[in-house]
Amino acid sequence: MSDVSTGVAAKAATLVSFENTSVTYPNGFTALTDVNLEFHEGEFIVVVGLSGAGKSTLIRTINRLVAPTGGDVNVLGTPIRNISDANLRKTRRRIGMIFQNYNLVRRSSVLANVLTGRLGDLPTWRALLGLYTKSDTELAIKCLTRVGIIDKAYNRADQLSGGQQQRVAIARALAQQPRILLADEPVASLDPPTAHQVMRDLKALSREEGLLTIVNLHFVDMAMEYADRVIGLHAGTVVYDGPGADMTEADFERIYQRKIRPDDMRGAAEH
Amino acid sequence: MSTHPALPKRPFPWMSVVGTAITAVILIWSIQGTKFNLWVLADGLPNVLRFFKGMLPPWPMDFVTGQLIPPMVETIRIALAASMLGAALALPVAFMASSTVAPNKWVYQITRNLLNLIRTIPDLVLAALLASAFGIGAFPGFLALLVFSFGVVAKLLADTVETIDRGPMDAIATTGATRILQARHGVFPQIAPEFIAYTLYAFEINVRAATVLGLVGAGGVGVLLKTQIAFLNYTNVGIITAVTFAVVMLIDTLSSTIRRRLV
Repeated sequence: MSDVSTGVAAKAATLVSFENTSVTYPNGFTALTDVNLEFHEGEFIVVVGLSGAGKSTLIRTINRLVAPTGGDVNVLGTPIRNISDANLRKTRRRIGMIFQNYNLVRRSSVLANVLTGRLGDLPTWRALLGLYTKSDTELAIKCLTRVGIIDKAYNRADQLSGGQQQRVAIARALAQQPRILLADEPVASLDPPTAHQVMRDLKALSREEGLLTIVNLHFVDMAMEYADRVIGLHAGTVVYDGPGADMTEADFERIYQRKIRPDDMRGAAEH
Repeated sequence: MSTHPALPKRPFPWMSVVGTAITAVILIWSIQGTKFNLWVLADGLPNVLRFFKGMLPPWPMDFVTGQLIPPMVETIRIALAASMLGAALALPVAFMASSTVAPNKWVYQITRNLLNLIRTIPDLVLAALLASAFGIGAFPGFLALLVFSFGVVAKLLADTVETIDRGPMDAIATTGATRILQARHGVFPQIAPEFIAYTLYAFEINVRAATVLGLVGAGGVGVLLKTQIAFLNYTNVGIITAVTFAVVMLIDTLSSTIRRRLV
């Protein structure tokens, strides 16, 4: 077992490295083939590609919602392919995740949802009884303030708009005090202005907290606008890896295997 | 004119003829088994009338307050305790018996089958059995209804857990929380109203069941009913029936009103 602290010491430490990683699902579909990538502290990475290209698999392999079937992924200093359940939980505590459908407990309050981000760090008996400590609650309040919805703390989650719910989900991930933030199509269910707002929030958080943030997006224009680094996937292999601003039409066509169409764009933010 | 094609020859309706014959044979055979006899029916009629007269007020209040109220209260207490504790025990088992939360398919299959087995035991048979093991009184009745409540709440809740939104559970899993915590914080809040509703439902059934537990020596108002029947005191049997009926109705109405507001 290598330890997590080695990563902290170095500057712009490597937090995630894919080492000849392949993923073949039980149904025989190969989602990733021999991927080699390194992600560093503070990077804001956007993964683009057609649906089925392996975007979601790439992100979900990092917190091992999907297990690699070839090669390995080193996450926060730990190879995760054959990780034990206990070590996986320990690693996951430092990885926040945001989903397309927010995945909030709709009947619970906003605050209760954010507090679930603290469960991994609580002693089992406290976690089971929902007895969060004072510092947990303070942290949750801080996270809600950070995403600008502290006034909704005692509302039921399902009373909030989509954009607000996604912000609760971001606050829940932040409450984990993560070093890595994963976002799987976080704006796919949102209208353009809200989508841009959420992307700006994610980018600001990544900057201020030095978080490695990896976002899946369908829209290439958003990828170019926000990403420090764009990973283009096609049929499970990396076909582009570079700064978003440098992307050319040829790069697009390599990723999408066709000309760019209007529906590949989300549209500009209403700044 | 009549250019209609000729109707094909009607086939003989073997199925309906044979079916009717078999049903008739089964009906006659089963009625014979009941020793049905019109003379016996007529003989018992005066007793039935006395029973119905007893149901009507005015009731002898010393019987009601002295002999009827205490076992009636005991009946409700048995039902309440059995429903609440049975439901509490059912909660973790319901998680194990649903494919969404169960840690593996073995736990799932074993708990499912166990729950199916438990629900095949008739509660009166269980109460009689427990009364012979632990002695006559409220305790074996409580145990029998506890097992029943456990079985019914666990089964209904397990089916409800199968239908929940898995998203919150997955989200909590990615924070590094154990499966028990995923169930506690990702699933339980989703099913809490149903959990209370099923507990109330078990309570309604338990109140009705608890009124006859006494017939097999397992406490409650049924003990009194049994002795009054034994003494052929049909007036008192009528009073007991009427009060029981009123209490059961009241609890049913109250409980189902709450349930409707919950879910």
